[in-house]
Amino acid sequence: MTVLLLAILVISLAEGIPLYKKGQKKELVFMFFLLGTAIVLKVMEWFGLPSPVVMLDRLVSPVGKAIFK
Amino acid sequence: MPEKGIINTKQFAWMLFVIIASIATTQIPSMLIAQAGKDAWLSVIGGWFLDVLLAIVYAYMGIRFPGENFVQYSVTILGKYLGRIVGIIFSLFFLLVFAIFLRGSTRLVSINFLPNTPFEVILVSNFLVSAYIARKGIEVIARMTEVLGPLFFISGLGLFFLAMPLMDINRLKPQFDNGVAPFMIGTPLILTFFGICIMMAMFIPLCNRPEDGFLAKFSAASMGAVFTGILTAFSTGIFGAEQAKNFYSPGLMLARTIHFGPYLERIEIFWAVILMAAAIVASASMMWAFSLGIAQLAGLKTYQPLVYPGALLALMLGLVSFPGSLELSNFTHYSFPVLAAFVESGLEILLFITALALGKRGTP
Repeated sequence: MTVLLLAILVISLAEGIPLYKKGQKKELVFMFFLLGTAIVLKVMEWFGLPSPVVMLDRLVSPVGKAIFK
Repeated sequence: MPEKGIINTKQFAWMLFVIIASIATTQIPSMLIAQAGKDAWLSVIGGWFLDVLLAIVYAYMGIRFPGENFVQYSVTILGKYLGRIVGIIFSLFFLLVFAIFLRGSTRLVSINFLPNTPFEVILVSNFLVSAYIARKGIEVIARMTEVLGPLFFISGLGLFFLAMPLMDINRLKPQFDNGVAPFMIGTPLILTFFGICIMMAMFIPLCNRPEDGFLAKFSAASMGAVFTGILTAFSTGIFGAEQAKNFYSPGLMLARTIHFGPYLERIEIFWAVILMAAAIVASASMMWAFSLGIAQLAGLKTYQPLVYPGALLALMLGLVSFPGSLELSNFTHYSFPVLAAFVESGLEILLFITALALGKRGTP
């Protein structure tokens, strides 16, 4: 988690400051949305909740297993 | 438009070839051999044929909606809300491919070359390099593939040439020993991996000659199919189907078998370097497509600020969803082909039929 937060801090500073200076607020919002989603995935793992890909896998893998051996 | 780069037809074809060849030569041949046994190389031909048919639809849509990629023409065809949902699915598909493909390639390096290095260190390095390339834009990716594509193709042919004396054609016979069912199941499996080249719909509006979209895809798919087909046939012919299906990367094992006395040994490192370089560049184009797609849907001026956050999100998605290589292999084998078939064929054909039925066209 510490490494993840550090990575988010570095990306936020490197990408966020130029965007803020240019006044590109929409880009800033979307950048933080993606970074926030990365944190949400880690928090979900902490609480033992499946990630969206795992949920999709559970939904689709029976079909795949029926077709492929 | 957030991306201002322009590519030519040759770059277009090499970009698609690098995507097909790097994805289809890592762990896919062994999956295909597990599925179709001795008929695996025939399934590659079947997959190539269906992929070319699919390419006709993508190329036609690229011309019908000039200057628009499939994320954009989804909105034009289906409207603001439903179109955006389809556009997001396309973008998320590239994010998923980026995550699983880089993770699979990293496993290849970790197992075979750097077993003492922590897996996460190699993984993060790969993600960083890939994101760095993606952030530089389409023209940088195109120029890299112009160098890597021919190198990959020639090195592959060289590998097959050197491995030829070890090939036992009898291991490929008889064909259709267990009926046509293995071939019929293997064909859609390989198609879903060839089909990642739906990326062509992102490249067409940026090509200086959009009408050459089909030609580029046809050339790339044909070269990729030759490459994958020979690799699959050689893996089966040299190791036998029973052994080849258990390899993580049959191409790497093939390279390992080559040696000429004490003069030429351990050439698999050259193959691995080219393969990894191609894998990283192919992944970079996935991340580029994801960031560009999201930026276009959201109406952003630029996609570059989304590249590193997107790569971090993909990294987390990969780490959280697939704690070990078994989970990743199961996902790639059973779930990915179903999801890919839905996105690559289902959604595009839906868009195609809707565009025809509603008479929707882009503005030239």
